[in-house]
Amino acid sequence: MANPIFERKRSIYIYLLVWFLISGIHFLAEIIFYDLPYIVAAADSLVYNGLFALIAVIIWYPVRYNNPEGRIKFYGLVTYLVLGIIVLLFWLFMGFFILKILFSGNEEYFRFLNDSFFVRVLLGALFFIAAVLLYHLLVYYRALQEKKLSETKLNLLVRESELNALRSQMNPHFLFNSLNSISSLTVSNPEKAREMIIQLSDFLRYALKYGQHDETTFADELKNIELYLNIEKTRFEDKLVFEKKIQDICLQAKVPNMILQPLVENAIKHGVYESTTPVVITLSCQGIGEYFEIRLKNNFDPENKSRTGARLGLKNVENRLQLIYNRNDLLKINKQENYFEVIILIPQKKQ
Amino acid sequence: MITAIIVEDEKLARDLLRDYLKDHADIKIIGEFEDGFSGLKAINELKPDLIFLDVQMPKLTGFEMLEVLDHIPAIIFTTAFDQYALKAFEHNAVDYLLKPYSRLRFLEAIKKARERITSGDVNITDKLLEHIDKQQEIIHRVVVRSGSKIHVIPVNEIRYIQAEDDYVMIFTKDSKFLKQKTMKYFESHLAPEDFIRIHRSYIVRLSEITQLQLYEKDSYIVILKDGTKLPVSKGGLPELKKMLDF
Repeated sequence: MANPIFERKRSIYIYLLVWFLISGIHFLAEIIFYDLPYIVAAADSLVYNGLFALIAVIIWYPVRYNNPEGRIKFYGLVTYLVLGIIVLLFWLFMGFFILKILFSGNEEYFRFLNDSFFVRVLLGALFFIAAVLLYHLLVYYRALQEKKLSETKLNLLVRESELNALRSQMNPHFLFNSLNSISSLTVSNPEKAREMIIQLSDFLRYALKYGQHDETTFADELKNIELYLNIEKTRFEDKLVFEKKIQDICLQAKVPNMILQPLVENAIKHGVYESTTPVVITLSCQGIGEYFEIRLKNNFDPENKSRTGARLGLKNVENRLQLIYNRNDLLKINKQENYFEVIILIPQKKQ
Repeated sequence: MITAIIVEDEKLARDLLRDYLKDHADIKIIGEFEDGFSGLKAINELKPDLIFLDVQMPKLTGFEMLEVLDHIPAIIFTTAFDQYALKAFEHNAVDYLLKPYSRLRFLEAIKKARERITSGDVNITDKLLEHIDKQQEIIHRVVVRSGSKIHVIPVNEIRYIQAEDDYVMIFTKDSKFLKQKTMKYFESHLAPEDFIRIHRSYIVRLSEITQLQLYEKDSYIVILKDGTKLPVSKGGLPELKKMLDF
């Protein structure tokens, strides 16, 4: 990070103004309290304060280097002590050196220089501490601003992924194609059309019922996914085969709502939509230690070259699991020559 | 008599089309197909006057079919929901049916198709495909025709692409295919992290490049894994060096 003084023209002016004011006070004090001639007091004030103005610019760098977080630690204090002594010695020596050249032979002034040595040390120390403190405050303030900004960004991200998840629940393709199937069935098989409307309604009700963070039981999820698959089966008939291997213990497991639907939809999209031969979708669940492991497997025709690459639905599931359980290792993909498998782990909360 | 073919992967959707078509005795269905591949073959062989074409289908989409059709009949597209397609249809005055559609809406589409067939003005494909190309982003497969055979090339099998007048030659591991598309199309539709345009006439898969060599004063060539040498233009060199991390 560059020195904040040089960040804007305005900050340079303010910096110069502050030192000009300090020089002014210094000048007045020397005239009033020490009776120095104007010219000598002006030179003394300008040389010492001007020097420190330059040194203070440089102090920024050790502060920045020492404390990127803006908090002082013990070894930092030691560093500052050493740095302070070096700065003071340099400052006093340089000032003395320049003024000696300017006023060589002015005995009265040199006496004043010697007498005021202790005051100058104090003044230098004060300047040094003030500079370090101000810089620290600045760094701290900036870190705070940055943190606020990144928090806002994070919130936006969360919101976005929630929206995406909602969108993936309501795949318009599924919805409108199902409605078209119903439209077709009203002529050929009105009874079946009615049944499909009811299934679709139940599915939509379930999808709309819960919020992003609500939990439900695996049994409910299973019931819903069977509704969904029934609807798709009406559309695709024998092209879609569903099998399940569910351990009883899984049924009461708490899982995020609508977590299965994007997985099944993905399997249908890349399996059934792209295939002309039957695709078997197998859902299995078993308890493993502190987890429930849910697997969804579908075969696909390796001859079929996929048209789409991104698997947005799975990404959404991964994001949701991350948001809910704060872990990014709960979803795994296992792609083989002729089948595709998604494995998710649902941590069991201790009751 | 108008001959028609239905290319639609869902049986119920086909049933519906057939039911609506009962009102039109002069339209004769000469074939129904469940995927783009068999539909394509039938259209080229049977040369119907009209096709009902679903956009989303196994093996080949309705649009991919258009790219390789010999015989272009009047087309009525059907789709459930596809924002890209809809825009393309609207901009090019293409007949389309949004599922689910009413008998009235179907009648309108048929009326327009009849007009097209009698006037002989059915060729909308070039402009439509151009429009769809523009909206599409990164592609994952390319459909080509060689003779009467249709090939679907996954993009990850493409090694490099060479310009050939109005066509491009696509080189894969053990074959090459001519495709009627521009270099510009491939430049903007292949993943930029995998492919790079090194020359007016060449787009190369980055991972195929084994060497960048000074050829003559000021001119470079790349050597591919199989030993193929391709020229690098002055304009392409800086980007290539950047991508190869030189």
